[in-house]
Amino acid sequence: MIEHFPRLFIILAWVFLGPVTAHGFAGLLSPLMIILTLFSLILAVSFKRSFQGRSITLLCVLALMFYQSLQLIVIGLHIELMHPDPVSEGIRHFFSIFFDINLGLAITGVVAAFAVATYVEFGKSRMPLTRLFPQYQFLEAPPYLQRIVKKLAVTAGVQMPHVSLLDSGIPWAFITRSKQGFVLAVSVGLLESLRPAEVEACLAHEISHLKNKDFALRFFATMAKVGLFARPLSYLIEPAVYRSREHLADSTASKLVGGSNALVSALSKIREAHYEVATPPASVGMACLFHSSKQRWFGVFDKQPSLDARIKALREGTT
Amino acid sequence: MKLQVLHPTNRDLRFALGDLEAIVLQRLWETDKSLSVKEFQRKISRSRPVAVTTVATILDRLYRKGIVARQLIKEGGPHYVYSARVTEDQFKHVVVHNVMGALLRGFNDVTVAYLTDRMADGPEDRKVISKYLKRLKDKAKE
Repeated sequence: MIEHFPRLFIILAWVFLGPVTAHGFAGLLSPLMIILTLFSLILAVSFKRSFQGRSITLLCVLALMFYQSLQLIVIGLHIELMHPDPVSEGIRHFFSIFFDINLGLAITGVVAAFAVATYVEFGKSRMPLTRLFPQYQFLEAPPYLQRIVKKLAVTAGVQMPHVSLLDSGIPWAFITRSKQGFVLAVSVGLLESLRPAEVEACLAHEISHLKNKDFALRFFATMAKVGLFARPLSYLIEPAVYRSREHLADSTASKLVGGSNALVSALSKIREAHYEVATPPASVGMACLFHSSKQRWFGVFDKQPSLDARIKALREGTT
Repeated sequence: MKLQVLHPTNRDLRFALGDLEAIVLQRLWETDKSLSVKEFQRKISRSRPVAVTTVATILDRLYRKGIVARQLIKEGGPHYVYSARVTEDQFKHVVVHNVMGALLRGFNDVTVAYLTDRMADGPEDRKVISKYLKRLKDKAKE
């Protein structure tokens, strides 16, 4: 039946959906799928000990899984609509419940991913800061803080984010996207309890998220996870991507401020307070200096690595 | 004042607060002026080593519970100065009020019976009970 379609359509179908067999498209054999798989494997082998490589490899695996979902929808609909031959009809009938559930989950996932993507891109990231964090008050940052952030942004080669002073005594900071663009919020608690060099290292960590384009990567990882909600593996891969990006931001921050000592010292001090009480609220679309230290399931579902793990990685100089 | 978690096995302030929260609040009541986080840390460190970050976190927690007040000072770098919002007596009053209120709401008869049994043991307690019973009767007449 496919022979009746234009040549370009046939080529695209071959590239994206694989060769046509008696039972329909062989999705796993599609050139794009093979190239992506090989690319992921090469990345996994060559960047074994780098956070950049690790996160990109994980993203590739997520992309593969998401792509497979899309394939499933197209191939599934093709079989549904075309009924190419009695053999595939027989297979469809035999696996009909499994097939329909799988196709339904794939369609739901992809629709949900696009809905969430639209909400994050056109809804959440365009809200004013006061609506994103109604429990906090944001004040004008002092000029010296603006100067430090500007210096770090210039060194990192990124556009300077808007800087806000967060009315909170807990030592923490985060960077997020809002109506004002990227906003770096620094708590009063951070400024009053850390030395200036340590504060600068914490700010460098946040700027590093911009330099490493973490918002785009994390956005993609979240979308892929939503799209793959029915695949358990995605619940492990997505947080692993986030954790790798945090480690990478630490590593980049060390380069920006000329060494890891100040950041290690800051994280150690925060860790001390952390053991007592603090748990700043994390939200979708924000990169936080730290989050809850209480790890469950060995931290495999945590989006933030533990402070211990971060300090250890910085001391070992892992990049 | 928000006291959500109580620890019935702990004594004194630790009945309603964490260990460090109780220490920090006690220091706050001992002094009659507002203190910065660093000043607090120096005071507490004389008896127990503690990081500035920990003290900052504890004070923020006490502030969110409505037990301490704070003011943002911009001179010399943004920092807070903290002062007590309630006296020691007021704090204890609120704790007892919360606990007894909850018990009376949940187990009214049992709580009243327990209190009268417990307090009827000493002559002084009997006087107190009589005084409150008289007050109740007067209120009922009105």
